[in-house]
Amino acid sequence: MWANTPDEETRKMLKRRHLPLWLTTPAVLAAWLVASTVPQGGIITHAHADEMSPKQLFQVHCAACHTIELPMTQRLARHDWEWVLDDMEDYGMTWLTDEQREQIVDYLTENYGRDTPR
Amino acid sequence: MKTTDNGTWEWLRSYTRDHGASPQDLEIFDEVSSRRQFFGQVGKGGAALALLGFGAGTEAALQGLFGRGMIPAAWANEGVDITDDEAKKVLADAGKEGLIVYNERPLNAETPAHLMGDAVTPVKRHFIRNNDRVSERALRKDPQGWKLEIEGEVNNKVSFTLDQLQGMNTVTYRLPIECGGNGRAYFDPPPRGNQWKNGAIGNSEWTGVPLRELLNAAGLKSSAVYTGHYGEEPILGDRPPFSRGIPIDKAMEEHTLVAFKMNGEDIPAVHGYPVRLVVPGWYGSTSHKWLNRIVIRDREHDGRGMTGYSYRVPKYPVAPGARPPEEDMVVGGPWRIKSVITGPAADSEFRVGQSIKVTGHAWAGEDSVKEMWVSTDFGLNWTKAKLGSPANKYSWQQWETELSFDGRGYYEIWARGVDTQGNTQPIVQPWNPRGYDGNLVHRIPVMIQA
Ligand code: HEC
Repeated sequence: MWANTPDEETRKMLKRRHLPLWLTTPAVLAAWLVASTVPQGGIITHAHADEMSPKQLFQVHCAACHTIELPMTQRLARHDWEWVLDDMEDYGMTWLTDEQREQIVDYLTENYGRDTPR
Repeated sequence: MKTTDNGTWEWLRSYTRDHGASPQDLEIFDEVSSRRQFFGQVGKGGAALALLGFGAGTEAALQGLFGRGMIPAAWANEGVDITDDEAKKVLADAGKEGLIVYNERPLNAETPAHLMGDAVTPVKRHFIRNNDRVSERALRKDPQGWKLEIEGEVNNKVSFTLDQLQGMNTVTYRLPIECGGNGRAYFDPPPRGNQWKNGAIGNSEWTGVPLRELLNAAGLKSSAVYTGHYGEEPILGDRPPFSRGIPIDKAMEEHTLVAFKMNGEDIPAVHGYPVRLVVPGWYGSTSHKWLNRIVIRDREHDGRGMTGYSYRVPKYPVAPGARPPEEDMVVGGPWRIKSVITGPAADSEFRVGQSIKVTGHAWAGEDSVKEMWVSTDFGLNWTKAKLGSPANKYSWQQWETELSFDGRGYYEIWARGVDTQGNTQPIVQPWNPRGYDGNLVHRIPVMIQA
């Protein structure tokens, strides 16, 4: 269901965020997350990272610090979304790969762009 | 997959132990797992992780990793009902009604114009602007151990308990608090930030001690030029604490209050319990909630919210959509002349000839409002409305007029104030990158039936 060990990228990321070592195995992380989301009435769906749609990427990554409506209520041009992402990285969103970031910006520009009705 | 039964937790515990968890880690683990009902109450995985002492953002870091395997569907949440427990709690605590919630964490909500009719804004109708989370003390309503410290460019560092403040000479004023971004929704193109229309303002009755009494007790040094405000709110993300400030003259103005009552009651959690600043006529971000420290500076304060593009405007007019360099941005603060139509509600229907009462408020930052004008023909002709005087300096003023329409069709009621200097409100909104200082003429569409 999930990879057995974190890859190099993830290790670096986790190091930056000072997680204790015992938390860095995906199985433990996954179990934590399942344990903490199931009481919310959540149903677990399975998908591989490569299969994550840009929308899922957006929903998973942009609801960590604030609720997802915050970005959803914006109507911004691409360069403004880039600017927002720069700021979010300043605020600690340090774990996106370049491709993921690109996909999220594309998704936001397409769905929450300047011309989308408010 | 049933994951919250004890079997799974035991398995997880031995797994973590076998993978080198320290006794301390295991202790935390036991603490968390024994309270796992807690997750259901407090929210998503972030609560668990926060309990373990990780910063905000960890949750998504884990999600990112987690994304390699699974996506909890609970996250694909687009519902409109309030789901964030902290938001739910503070909205209920303040008895909020009819507000438009823009986002739940941080909680931001405004009042629709037609529900803003009261001269003294009731708690249930006061807008909410949070940059971060709500102070835990405020959630618990626990004044024990709270104090306000004043330090920096003062002769004596001083501090005050709540009892001490309440024992001083207190004053009560009706004072406006208005988010710097109120009106952002009318900027074109839309700037970043909450898309406030007209309702990110409240004019409640605030009771407290003038800040200047406390500054005098500390004794300002001649080097004192600016304040810096700090509060007890937990910060979202890896950011320094939110901290804005005001020039010393404004801090010494008698209506700048260290307040502990709102409309005669303890300040609700979401509005800053136990103590907040009220800096009338200036961007609401200077009226720090959950206040516990004021640092007197020898230069313009440089806390979060004073630098970059936040709460700052270009020093010269810029083209809509442009982003001037950071060094051309200056701190925003005092509000300009504004007004709102609180009745009739937008999209009301009337008959030809029917008499319509139009009501509203007007306010003018450091100044006061001299005249109110209303137009029903898209600004070609304006007629003067009846305007009341403010209950005290800074308070918004009430205005009203009667009008009727001679023919059927679509019309708009427009309102525009004039301050004592002759400044009025624009019909087209001048633009700035983050959408501050919005003071457009307020327009209400109405349908007239034959
Ligand atoms: C590490 C924490 C964190 C993550 C992850 C995060 N944000 Fe934010 N975001 C913040 C904070 C803090 C604010 C400021 C809230 C405020 O002041 O009201 C904010 C504000 C915003 C705002 C509104 C105000 C502004 O500055 O424009 C938008 C839009 C936004 N975030 C979009 C996003 C998007 C899109 C993502 C995902 C790519 C994201 N955020 C992920 C921390 C985060």
